[in-house]
Amino acid sequence: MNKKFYKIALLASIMIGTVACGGEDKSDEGKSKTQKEVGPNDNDTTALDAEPEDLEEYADNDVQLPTALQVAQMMNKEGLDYTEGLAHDPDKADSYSTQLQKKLVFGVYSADLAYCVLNDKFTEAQSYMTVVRDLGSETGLAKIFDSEDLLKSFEENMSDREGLMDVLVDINWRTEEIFDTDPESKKQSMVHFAGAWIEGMYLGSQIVVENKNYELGTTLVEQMNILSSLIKGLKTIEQEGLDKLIVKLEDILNTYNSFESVKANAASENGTFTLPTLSADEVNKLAQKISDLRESIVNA
Amino acid sequence: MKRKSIIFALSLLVASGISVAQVLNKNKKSKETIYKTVPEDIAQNLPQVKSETKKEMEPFRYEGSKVTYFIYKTFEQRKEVELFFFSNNEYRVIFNSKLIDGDDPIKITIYDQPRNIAGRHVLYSETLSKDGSNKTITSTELLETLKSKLPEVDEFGNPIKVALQKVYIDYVIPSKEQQIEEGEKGERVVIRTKGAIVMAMGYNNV
Repeated sequence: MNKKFYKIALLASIMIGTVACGGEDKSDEGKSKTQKEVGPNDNDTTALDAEPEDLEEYADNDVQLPTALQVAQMMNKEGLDYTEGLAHDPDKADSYSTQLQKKLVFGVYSADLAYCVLNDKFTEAQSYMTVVRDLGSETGLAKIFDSEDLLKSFEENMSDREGLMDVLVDINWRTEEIFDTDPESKKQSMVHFAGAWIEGMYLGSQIVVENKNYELGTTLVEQMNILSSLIKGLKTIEQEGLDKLIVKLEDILNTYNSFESVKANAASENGTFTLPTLSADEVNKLAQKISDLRESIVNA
Repeated sequence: MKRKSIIFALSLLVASGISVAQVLNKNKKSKETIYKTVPEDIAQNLPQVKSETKKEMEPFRYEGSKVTYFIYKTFEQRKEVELFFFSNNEYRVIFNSKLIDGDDPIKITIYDQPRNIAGRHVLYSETLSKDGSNKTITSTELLETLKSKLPEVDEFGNPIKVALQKVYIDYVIPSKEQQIEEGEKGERVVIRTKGAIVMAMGYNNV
């Protein structure tokens, strides 16, 4: 009897408890993740500022990197002349399979496109435009190249350097339109930029070494200022294989920072930047490192 | 018998306690917080604002723009944008603040170094208001300001060659009072006011 009573008492308490628990408010269902966030105490307005806000698009630090066109134009001013066979072969555009390879090579070809346009190599530029469009479409930038007017505009300006430069600016404008409302795409664009940066450095350094053009060498040195920001940006992206690229870029940066001319410049720094002048050996060493990295991308 | 009554009463007490806790919890949930971000049309208005800055860039070649988004908070915030220059060219930088909120202006300061470097130099300082005109500055002006703040020669008497290869643009976003409203189901709706500053850059094409 006693046992039976205890069982009933226990069962009654469990049932009442279960009914109470079953009354859980279901009004959360169907709401977004943000809406479900648990709010702070009513009287604690300071805590309100600690909620869902730390999104990438609201990062406290950001960087505005130069376009491939601007980089090529600055180098062109200092004598980045066209050398046959230096740019990457557009016929190899189909040889890349992973997203990382495609994004990097998209950047490489973007730099080559600007390089051709600035040197009035319009037929070559058209080939690069085609592969840039194809690789762009395969790496999340299809919206830019879907438009017929862009390609039409490119064809209409086929013998006009300034007109083609306007088309490249237009491509950048359309790219920004995507990034302005899609922080993840914007973050991913750092990989595209890495490819363009490496190719720009490759073209520039090869011509510096070949022609002993040290004015162009100064522009290359300025490009090195971008590298630490580029590495920092790449480290925020999760993509298979990217870590290997970052290691190679860090190696280039460390090599550059270990140059005597760079260290001497840093030692005399007076709260601001001055430009180091690299020795011939340093230029050669930097050019070789960049060439090795570029090879690992285009022959991946 | 007395023992049975005590146990029964205790069981009921425990069960009732759980029920009361759940009811209180339900009431608390009805006070849950929902975050609503306003205005919703910033993205739609961006192309127009950017077009205006692009037009004002002439005769410089438009390079691109950086949109800095933020959510107003109950305290001031600082956002920093790093911008690169090549020393063999001149740049124009334009700030547009049509997408900020309210009457409180945003302060822009351009420095030669990032915020973690002590003694960095202020190269430009300005305030941006919602209804104000675009603010424009060139890299030449920034460089001249920097030169004026540095010694002309080093400790050995050699001229210091100054190059402005990058600058750091700091935006100080003013604080804003927290707005809380009551939703249709009695929930608390916290209004998050969003804003954006458009910074466009162009360079001398010649």
